[in-house]
Amino acid sequence: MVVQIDGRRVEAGLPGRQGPLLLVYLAANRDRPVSRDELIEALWPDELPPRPESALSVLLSKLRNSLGPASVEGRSQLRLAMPQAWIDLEAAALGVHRAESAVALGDWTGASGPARVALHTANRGILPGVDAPWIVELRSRLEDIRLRALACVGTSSLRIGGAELPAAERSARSLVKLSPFREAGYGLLMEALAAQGNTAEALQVYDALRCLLRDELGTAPSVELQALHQRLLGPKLVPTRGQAARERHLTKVEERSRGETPGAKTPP
Amino acid sequence: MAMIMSCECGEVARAETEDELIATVERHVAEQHPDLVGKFSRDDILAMAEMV
Repeated sequence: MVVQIDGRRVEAGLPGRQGPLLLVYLAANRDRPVSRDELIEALWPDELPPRPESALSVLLSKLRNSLGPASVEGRSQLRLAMPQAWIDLEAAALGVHRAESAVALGDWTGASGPARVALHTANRGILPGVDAPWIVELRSRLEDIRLRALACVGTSSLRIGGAELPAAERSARSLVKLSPFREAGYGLLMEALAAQGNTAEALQVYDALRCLLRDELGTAPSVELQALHQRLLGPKLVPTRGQAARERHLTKVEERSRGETPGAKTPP
Repeated sequence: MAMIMSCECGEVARAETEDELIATVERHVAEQHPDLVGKFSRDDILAMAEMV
């Protein structure tokens, strides 16, 4: 966890184990006031300290010492009062929203920057080793952003093509690994591989998904993926009228050479 | 305080100042990701940077 104020890192000055938790909770909820009871429950979810109100007051005092006296406002209802603060959780949410909008508009290069910001910030995780229920929920929100950002990086890189195709492939592989039942990841991976000339590998990806869905869910890939699979297999060869006539002629010649009557049915 | 930024392609840019990091990243983008030149703002690059 990094906390920087005017180029100066201050996270080391946060009080003990609860200090970072208090700051993260206030930062994640900075759009609304938070009651003291809510904070106490967030900071000590399993077992309350002997005097929780006093313990919270001490923590808030130390937090204000580290971040500045006006950093947290209110007494019974508290709120982080740092409107200019850059918070990575917010940056990730904003980034993925901007990226998805750009992808929806077909602005592939415009999606690249915000999608990567979302991916980088979501990849950092949040308070490793701490498992309070609200942190688990924040992690789940961040994981969702991460998957959506991977889909945006993958889609935009695929559509840009050229030097960005390997990025499309890497993003799609991560998506498949992190979310093996999200079919969009397989579609992206198949397209990225095919665009790089690896059609056989793309077909293998489809087959892996087909087997997974059959074995785990008793179902088949979506209609869209089946269509992509057919497209990658290439057009079915329909014989021309001339080719069909030539094949019939060759069959008759073969039958005559075997002493059979052309067109006669062989008894079972 | 050193800063690093890991590009999605695996390249790691390292610098001592924000300006130096931004110049290094922009150079990498121009050389390796020509389609993305101008698509990363200063804020985007700093958001992706890590302090080490």
